[in-house]
Amino acid sequence: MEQQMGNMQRLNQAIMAAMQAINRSQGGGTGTRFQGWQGQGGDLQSWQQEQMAQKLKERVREAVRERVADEVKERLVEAARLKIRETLRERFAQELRSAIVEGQQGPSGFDFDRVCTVLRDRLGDVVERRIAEGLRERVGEAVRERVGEAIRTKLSDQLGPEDAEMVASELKERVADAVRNRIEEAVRERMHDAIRERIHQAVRERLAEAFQSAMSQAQTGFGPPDPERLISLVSERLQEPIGERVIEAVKERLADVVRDRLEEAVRERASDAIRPALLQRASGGKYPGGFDPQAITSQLRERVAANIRERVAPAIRERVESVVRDRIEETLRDRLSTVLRAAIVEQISSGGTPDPDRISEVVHARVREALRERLVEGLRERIDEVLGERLREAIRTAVREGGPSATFSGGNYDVGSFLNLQPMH
Amino acid sequence: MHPSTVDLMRSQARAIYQALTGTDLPEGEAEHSESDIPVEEVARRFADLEAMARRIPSVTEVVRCFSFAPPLDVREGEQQLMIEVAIPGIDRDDVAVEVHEDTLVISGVLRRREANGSSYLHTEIPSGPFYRVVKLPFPVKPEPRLELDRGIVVIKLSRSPDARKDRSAEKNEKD
Repeated sequence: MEQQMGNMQRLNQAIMAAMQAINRSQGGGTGTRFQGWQGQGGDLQSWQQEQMAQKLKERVREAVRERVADEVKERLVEAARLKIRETLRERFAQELRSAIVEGQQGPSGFDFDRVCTVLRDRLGDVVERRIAEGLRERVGEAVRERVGEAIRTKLSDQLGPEDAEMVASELKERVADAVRNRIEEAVRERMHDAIRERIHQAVRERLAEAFQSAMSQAQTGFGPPDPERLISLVSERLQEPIGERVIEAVKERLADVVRDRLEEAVRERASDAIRPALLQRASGGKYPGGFDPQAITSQLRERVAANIRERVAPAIRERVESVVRDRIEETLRDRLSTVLRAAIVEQISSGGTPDPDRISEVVHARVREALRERLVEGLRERIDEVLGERLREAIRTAVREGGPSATFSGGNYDVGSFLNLQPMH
Repeated sequence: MHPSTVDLMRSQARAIYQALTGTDLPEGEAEHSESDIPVEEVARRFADLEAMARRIPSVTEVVRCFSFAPPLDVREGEQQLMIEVAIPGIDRDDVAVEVHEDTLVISGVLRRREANGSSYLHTEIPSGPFYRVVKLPFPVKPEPRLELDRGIVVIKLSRSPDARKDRSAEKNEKD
């Protein structure tokens, strides 16, 4: 016995030493973190909490990947489209004028390529800046709306609606801030060249034709056409195709930009948003990562036992009484006459006078057998009925209503399946 | 808990410790010890340790899972049921087989091979306690016969007389 206890202690020490080694390997310092399993804040608890935080983080990432990036992108494409149109409307004529002036200053007269290049660079800068502005203005709102909703939906079955809301509102702000701060940089990195390239392409393809057609349109009388009218006509003809080309480029790249920035923001910020919710749950004794299993077990044991006593025992007593009464009546009615007759006939046929003691013995044996069979059968049926009807309900109520029921609220544990007990046989 | 299981659990904890620290577990390494600790509590702690350790790649690379479920085949013959369980390296005395009504429980321990001065760089071959439960398709006599054939534990269970009758009836019906 002593040796057995010694073995268990040695095993326990080995387990604890290994656990300390795990702590240390995961950056837990020199073993001071490990407090065994008895104390609050033991390392197992933080480990469980960390596991839950990781799971939630993964779910948040999934939610963002699945539901947010595309919708945010759609909204941002619209914002970019408006900005591009606005910019071209406001600036194209002016930039075209400057480009034409510069194109005329070439050594061999009007330099068409020079016009295209100047337009590409000047328009490119301004369009890029305005797209970034537009995205920055709108991305916060779009992310807040979509991230909040996606996270709420994704986490509510695990955390319950209140805590899911808490994580969602915390995280949507953090993610929106992070994405807003990085979107301009992302536009610079990923769209800079594409915007310029598309402007250049559109200008090269359409400028000559636009000029010709504008010239003929502007030629209303004798003499050269009015340059301002010419610029205005060319500008009108080019704005639309340039805008379309640029928006295509933005569309192609925006999905990746948004997805990457969202992922990055979630990766960096999710823990900060999830941990407060978990800590709050843990401190309220609600969260599995923060619970004290012994305290909960003992509270639940008392409550479940009390509930079974209160709800199940009387029902069993009631049914047992009735089944005993019914089955005794039934057995006596069905069997007693037959058994008596058989006992008497048996005595008479064996040639003696009926012996009351012998008859009693025979009747007693047969009735006892019959009663036992019927009572066992009846009791089993009725007890099964009661256990089926009342036991699950008694336990469920105890777990839900008791202090520790809070441990299971919030959806992390499915009390229904947890207590999916089968009737006993 | 069987003393040999306690030893195996301790070896596992030591192996985890060694995988993490590179050194053997010194006696009295733990910062505090508890007396009269219930067996269930130690078992639960061990399960937690094993679960935590399984999440650390440097441990999983060199420390086997504590327990495993050996693969098995179930064959039905005319007179008997044959269950073949693949446990290479098992000793006959380390397998226990019990029939409980309509289930067969196979359990035991596959002892870890000693590293003999070397240390594992990678390990996959399972060892430690194993446990399988097989639902029996018909009543059998509760005396299983065990044979060990090149790493395969062959368990033979004869049909109970009732099952034989049922089978004959079935055959007659088919015929």
